[in-house]
Amino acid sequence: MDCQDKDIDKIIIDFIDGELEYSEQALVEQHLAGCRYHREEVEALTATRDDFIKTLKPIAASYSPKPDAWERLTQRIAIEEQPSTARQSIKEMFVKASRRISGGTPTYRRFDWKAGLVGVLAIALIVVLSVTIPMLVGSDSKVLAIDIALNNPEVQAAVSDRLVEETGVVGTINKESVFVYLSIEDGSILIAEVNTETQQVVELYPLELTEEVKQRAIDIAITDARIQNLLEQGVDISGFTPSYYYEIHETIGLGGEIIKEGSIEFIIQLKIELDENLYFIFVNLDRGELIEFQGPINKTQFSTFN
Amino acid sequence: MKDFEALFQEYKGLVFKTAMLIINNLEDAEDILQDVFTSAWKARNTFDSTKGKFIVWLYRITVNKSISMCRKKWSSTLPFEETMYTPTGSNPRYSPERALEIKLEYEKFSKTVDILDSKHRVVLVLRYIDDLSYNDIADILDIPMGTVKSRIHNALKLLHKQMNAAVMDVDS
Repeated sequence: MDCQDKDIDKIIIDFIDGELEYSEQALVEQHLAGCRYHREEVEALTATRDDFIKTLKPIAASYSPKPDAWERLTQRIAIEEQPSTARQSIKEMFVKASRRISGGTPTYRRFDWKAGLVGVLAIALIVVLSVTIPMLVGSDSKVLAIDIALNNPEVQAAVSDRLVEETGVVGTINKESVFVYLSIEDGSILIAEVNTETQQVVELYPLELTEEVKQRAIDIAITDARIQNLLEQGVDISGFTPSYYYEIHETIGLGGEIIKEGSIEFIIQLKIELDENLYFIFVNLDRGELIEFQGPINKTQFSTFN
Repeated sequence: MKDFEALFQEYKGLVFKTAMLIINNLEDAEDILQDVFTSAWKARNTFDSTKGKFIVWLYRITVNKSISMCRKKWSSTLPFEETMYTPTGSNPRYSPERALEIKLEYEKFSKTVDILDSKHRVVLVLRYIDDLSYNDIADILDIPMGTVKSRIHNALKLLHKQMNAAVMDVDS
């Protein structure tokens, strides 16, 4: 038979764990003396708790991590503290950048901010579907984010009358914001930080392919002796292709909660042609670092690959 | 780094054991140990000791990561050979006879524990294996203390019911 005294249920765990004050403990005991229902429940819970402890405590005491746990941790920390660009998939970037250099015949359309919007959004959708970075944002939000970026006066001013070749969503920054990219006909890139909740463009990150930017990329590249040697042979850099690197960082908040935030860095790919070979150099402009040097790659093989 | 190593050596067992009891998978528990202390290293300059105890903070990360990795239920096939008497004899806490006894008890018990979801399992582990106070458990899980107690109550009731059902199965 059930018991109507529901207050006992609220303190029954404190009672079996011996966490009640003496006076409360006495009151519960008094109740139990006249209540078979709660007496049986206390007996059942106590026995179950004791079984749990008796069975699992010896097992828990036997658990210990592998002896090399500290060495593995220090190695991992060392890797994590390396510049993030050193850990990225160069191949992914290489393929993307290479596609831009020699990849087919992109459709150039003079961008008309009003009439061209539908066309650009259609292109943007195709691009978004083909982006290999895992997306953490729904397709509706992506379209919305691109729409917000394209209609922003500052974005329009930055693009000016140049053609917008591609648009897409790079990835999320946090719960409310995403990075939208616009690839411009002269090779420049514009990244817009868009808050989809307030529907505002929070920040613009342009990478204009100016002579200064090209020179900065060369200055970073020639810190590597192999690239210096190539340039000393009198070859010119035949291509500069801006790109970006997006990464999700996991940090721990002061409350111990896991916070994921995305960040973006600008990359430039430099191409050198020497006889029958190609060389590709990737530099991170934000960090001022050479990421990767690839080559020689036979031109014939390269065009087959593409 | 020396201070951090001392911290790691002091708390690695606690983190590993708690993760293991929640997810029951050695490899995952090793991964969680690495994840937790990598996070602790990154946050070493931002942790505000005035806002809480370090151990509560460490438990919170461990439990959060374990629950998110908790794809598997406890099973009766605990990898005992690796944890209790390894071929290298690196863990000679129990004699082979005692280890076998514990293993049999566990195998019987684990079938009943299987019915608990991770949120009920966590409160029992923190309370009865790690001997934490209701208040600390409430802080770790970021839930009211009353919810901690009601979860413990429900978890024990579920376990008891399952144990009775198991006994009836054997009898019949």
